[in-house]
Amino acid sequence: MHIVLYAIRKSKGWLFEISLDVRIDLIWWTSEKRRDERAQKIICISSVIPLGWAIQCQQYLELDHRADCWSPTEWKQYIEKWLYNRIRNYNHSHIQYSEIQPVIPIEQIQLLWDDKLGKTEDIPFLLSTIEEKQNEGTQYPLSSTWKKQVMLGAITLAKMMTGRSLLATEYIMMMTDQQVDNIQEWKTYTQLAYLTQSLRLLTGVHIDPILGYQCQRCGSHTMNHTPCASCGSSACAYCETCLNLGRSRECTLLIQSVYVASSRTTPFSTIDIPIHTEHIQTRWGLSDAQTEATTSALHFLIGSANRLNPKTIFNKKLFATLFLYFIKNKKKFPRTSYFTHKRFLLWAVTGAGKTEMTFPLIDSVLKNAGKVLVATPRRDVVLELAPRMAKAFPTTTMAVLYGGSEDRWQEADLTIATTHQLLRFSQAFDLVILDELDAFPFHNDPMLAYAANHCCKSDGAFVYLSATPPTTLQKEIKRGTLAHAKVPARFHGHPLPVPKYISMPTVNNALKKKQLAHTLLKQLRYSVTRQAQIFVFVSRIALIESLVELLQSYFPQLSIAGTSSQDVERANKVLLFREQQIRILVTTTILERGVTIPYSDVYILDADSSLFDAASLVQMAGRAGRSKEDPKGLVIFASKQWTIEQKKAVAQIKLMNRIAKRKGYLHLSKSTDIR
Amino acid sequence: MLKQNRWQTWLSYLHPQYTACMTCHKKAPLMKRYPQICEKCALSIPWITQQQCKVCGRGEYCPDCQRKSASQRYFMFNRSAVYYNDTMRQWIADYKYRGQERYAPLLGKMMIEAYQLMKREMIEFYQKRWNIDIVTGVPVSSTRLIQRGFDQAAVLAEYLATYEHLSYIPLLVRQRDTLKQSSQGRQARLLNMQEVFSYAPHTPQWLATYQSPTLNILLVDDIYTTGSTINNCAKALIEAGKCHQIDIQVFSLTWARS
Ligand SMILES: [Zn+2]
Ligand SMILES: [Zn+2]
Ligand SMILES: [Zn+2]
Ligand SMILES: [Zn+2]
Repeated sequence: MHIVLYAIRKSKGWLFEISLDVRIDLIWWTSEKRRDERAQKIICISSVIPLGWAIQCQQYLELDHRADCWSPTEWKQYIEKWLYNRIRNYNHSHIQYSEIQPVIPIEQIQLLWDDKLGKTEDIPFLLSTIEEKQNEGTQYPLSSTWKKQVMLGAITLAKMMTGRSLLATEYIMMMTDQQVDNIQEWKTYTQLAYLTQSLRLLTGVHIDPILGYQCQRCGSHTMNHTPCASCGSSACAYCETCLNLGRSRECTLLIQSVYVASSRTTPFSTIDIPIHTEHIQTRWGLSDAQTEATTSALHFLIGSANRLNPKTIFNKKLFATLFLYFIKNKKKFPRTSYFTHKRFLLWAVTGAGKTEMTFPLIDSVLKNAGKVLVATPRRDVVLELAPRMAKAFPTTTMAVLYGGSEDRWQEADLTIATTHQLLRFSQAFDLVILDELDAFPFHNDPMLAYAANHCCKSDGAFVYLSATPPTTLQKEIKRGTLAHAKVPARFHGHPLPVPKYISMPTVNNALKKKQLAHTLLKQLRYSVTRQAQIFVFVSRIALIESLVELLQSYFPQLSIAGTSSQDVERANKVLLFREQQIRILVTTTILERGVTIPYSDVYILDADSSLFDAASLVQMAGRAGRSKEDPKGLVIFASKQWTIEQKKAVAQIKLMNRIAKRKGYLHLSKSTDIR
Repeated sequence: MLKQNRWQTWLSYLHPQYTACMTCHKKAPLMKRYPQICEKCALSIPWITQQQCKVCGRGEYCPDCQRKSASQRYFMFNRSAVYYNDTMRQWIADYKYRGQERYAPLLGKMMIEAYQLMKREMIEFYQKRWNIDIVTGVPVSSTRLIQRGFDQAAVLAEYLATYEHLSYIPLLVRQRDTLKQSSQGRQARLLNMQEVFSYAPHTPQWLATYQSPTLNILLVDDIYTTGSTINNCAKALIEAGKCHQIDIQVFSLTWARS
């Protein structure tokens, strides 16, 4: 799209500004209330300039006093030359000088306002604005009734946009859905909100002097340049990474709310100290292990110990930017939260009840008028969390966000969202709880990491939840740069089942011979006789069907099923499995998380496969022994080889059990074997 | 973990680094013949090699062209590159609605191959030279163009014209947006299409510059559904020809036949 670019002379000097409706700018800058900021001269440059280029001029093109006496031709030449060099520089493309020329037509460069002359005859509407001598009551533009309407419109939009970051199309959709009055005047309202610094006007794709082309919504640098009919540029860039959420272009308007971190009390600084541990434990019904971790998280959030002073933050940011510039590895975005936000990791074993542990944290922030986000990579987890949160916080306004959800414009204190939805927020939350950040698709997706950092207020905090933190975080713990608390015991106070190793040939081999290894068979028979629900994990989808057949031949009386990511019946089959209608479920890592089945035994076949890393082995093992009634489920690693990943997984499980025992979180009975 | 990374780095020296296929996002060696896709995806393209219906280029039995309304047909015939199956639906959705313009070279290449097939068929049929004078596309409305940023039919037409050394000229304009086609019944669709297309103001003069009593125009679009879009465009082109008594024959080539 196009935008108006104008130059404004204030007492301090010349500036470029952009406008969606110049009438508003004229009223704004010529008002006596502006004092020092009041305009001495305003010159319109162009109304057909591509948005991206206009914003480039606004942010980076400098003007000095020489501009005071420039003729239109001089203005044109100065701006064109600069734009041409700049775009060529970053674009590395074939842009021609002749393409820049038509976007600044010489006849558009004209004086809009001069302090000394007062008014320009060419612009009749200007007269009325300054002198404010319009008849009251008429809807003539710029009458005071009209001004009131614009003011109200701007306030409404600014409020609606609090904490959001939307592309123009989404912005218009929001206004339509929320039934904003006189929606056709949105540009006028938005411009006023921009001038009052309640909204920020940006482009979807921005040219950064150091990092080059970058998508301001998702942080990616992967661009495609194409001729664009919206702005007329022959090489308008669009971001290829976040295409699924609507195209972010060099000429798309990105509207963000402005958050000013003030010295005011943050939701954390007003939390009651000392924290009443017993109160927390009884109110939320937590175990000892949970309570201890939660309280230390709370202490961390309140405390100012880990807060860096602004100067250090600046230095670190500068360093990071320069570093990125030199290594030229632009695919890895700077992780700003590493430098600025408070971060805390709750390392809770599978079945520790981590959702309940977040309740006291959420509660304390909500009580102090803070905004909380709980984000998780998967949609089904969002749907499962929502009712539990609603039950825990019945009086709180809540928004549940995922692709196509109804709540998307809902103003809420507590937001539960899939990680992709975070791209639509900017500086919105005081506390961001990231659940299972090691899981697909969050793990290794720089776009989602970028989004998470941007949706958290600059003085906000992160709490990560994970049973198997990614190596980067584990390293940070070792280095001592990440605060954390381990929850080594399960909610029911029994140790984690330690995996048992069975040596067997590969599944492929077994399928070929149509014969299961007798060691495995013996173990399976034991599980069947003890009436357990049996999870069988395999490495590849292709193996599932034939393995189900083979198992069926050994256990003809049992109901056996297989499911995978490609199975539309998956949810249904999991339900049947839970109801014990299905006794053996053959599956892939798709069910490694989130599924809790009482009385279950876990078999991981081909556990030496390179597709199973320590984290997913721990997660799969975590499916066993979840219920209080049957805490000692079996976990079997069956493979040809004993790999380092298996070793790591077992070591991690044993370590957690040892810590739990030492801290006295386990209800030890004599038969409990934790080694 | 570190060890594994190093190992992977070593492996990558032995194996060439593949870029991801545009359509299936898997890392694989990419085809030379079709831009940016892997061999598996290239093999999955459902080409229409045998038309059952010589009128609309359908690969299956076609009752539509037997109907009465078919008598008011203004174009000679239509040929399409591919069947409109789920994969193709996905591709065009990625291109048109998500705006992944990297598809343009691929779809353009497919149009070129379809055109060559069409040309071979025509030369066999007419037993003489058959040529196209002008390539033009089914237009989108100006609001849609500004919103989307590109005009897919024009892009395909230009690819084809450039490769075949033909002249691409935009001859048509769309007055208003039609409602989404899939949300209407057949009859409503046909009605909706009326009077939406007309020739551009400059079109008659353009046609006159050829100084020929007959002209063959190739009309390009992305998807042929009922043929009403193509038919209305063809009608508008023929009307434009009448201004200077030029006999216009319209041939249609679309990327997919649904
Ligand atoms: Zn992006
Ligand atoms: Zn553009
Ligand atoms: Zn592919
Ligand atoms: Zn037919």
